[in-house]
Amino acid sequence: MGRLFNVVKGIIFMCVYIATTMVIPFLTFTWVKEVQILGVGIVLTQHDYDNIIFWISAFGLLISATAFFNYSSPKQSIRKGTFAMVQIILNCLYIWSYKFSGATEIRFEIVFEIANIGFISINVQNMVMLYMGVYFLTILLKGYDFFDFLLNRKTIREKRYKKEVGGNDLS
Amino acid sequence: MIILAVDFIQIIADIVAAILNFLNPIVSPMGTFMVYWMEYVLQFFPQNDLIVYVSIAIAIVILGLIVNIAWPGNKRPGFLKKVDEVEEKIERKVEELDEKVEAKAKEVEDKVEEKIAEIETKVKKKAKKAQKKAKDLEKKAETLEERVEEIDEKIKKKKKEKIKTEELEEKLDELEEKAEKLEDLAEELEEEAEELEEEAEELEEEAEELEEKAEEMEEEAEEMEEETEELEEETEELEEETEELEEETEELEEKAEKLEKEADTDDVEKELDKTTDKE
Repeated sequence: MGRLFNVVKGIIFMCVYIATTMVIPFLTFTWVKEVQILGVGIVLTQHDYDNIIFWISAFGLLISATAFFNYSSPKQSIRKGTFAMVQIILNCLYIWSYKFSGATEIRFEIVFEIANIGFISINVQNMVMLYMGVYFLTILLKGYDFFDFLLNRKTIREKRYKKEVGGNDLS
Repeated sequence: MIILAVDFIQIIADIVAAILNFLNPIVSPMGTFMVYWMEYVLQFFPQNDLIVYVSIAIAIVILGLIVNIAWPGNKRPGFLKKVDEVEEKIERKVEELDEKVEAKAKEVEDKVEEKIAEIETKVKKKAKKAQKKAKDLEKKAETLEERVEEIDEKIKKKKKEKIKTEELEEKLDELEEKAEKLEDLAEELEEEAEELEEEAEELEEEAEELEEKAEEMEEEAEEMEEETEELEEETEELEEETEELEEETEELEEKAEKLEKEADTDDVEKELDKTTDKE
């Protein structure tokens, strides 16, 4: 029950993270690449698109793998704390990777028939910075959890393996 | 339509800008710090080579599988195992002690049961004897009860007799008292009778005397009768004289009244004389 349950839980969360960090952003950017408004095409440049997809795939894979490790680990264990912190850091890098990809300054070129009419540029760098600040606080929380698990390991384990009166010992 | 879309984007941008401006002084320093170290770290991440990331991800997943299957976190740690061993030893000792206690308890129970059986047999024998005795005693009790009833009846009778005797005694006492009183009365009566006899004798004597006196009196009476006849004659004479005297007295009274009237006038004159003398 314990092993199988942990692995299944890890797989479920890995799938969730693959969906949220890779599949949905991939589909969104693919849709945005060829979206048309009233017959006017708003086109992402191919370079930007490739760059975005690369970083999304790279960090999405790492985040999903660490999510698997994190959620398949037992509760209040050091490895869970470690990988939760690693996952948050990778999340930060994932968000920040949008800057490299050009997603923080999205440039939509408006092309009407053959002629290039102009472009629309959205700069979301400040928003990403705000998001980074929030992530910083999350990292602090995860760091606190990690040190809590590390320092109070004995008491946590005692509580975890405390024999209940009339209960079963899983070992 | 494009113009409307631009306006909508502008509104969203204004809202986001407001939020950013509000949180900017708090969160943006943290963001800049994050950007600083992330830019440094990202230098070491390979670009345009997805295989590295895929291999790292697979390695992490396999590592996670191995680690979490090997150590699922439900095995007890060493120090707790020692505690468990100590607890097991204690439990074993407790069980041994319990078994010993149970064995001793069984022995004691057996002994107690044997003793109880012996006591029960003894008790049964004693009970039988006691029952026999009880029956005898019951019979005796019945006889005693009958006797008691008889005695009670006798007692009741005796009580009644006593009551009667008491009443009789009381009556006797009363009678005795009455007899005493009667005796006293009889004595008194005897005394009185004696006295009466004496008186009777005296009266007889007196009667005799009186008879004698009566005879004398008869004689005297005869004499007196004679005298009375004489006196009656005299009285008739005297009555005639008295009538005459009464007539004389009436005449005298009339004369006396006349004299009195004359005497009154004389008295007034005498008083006038006396007053004149005094002056």
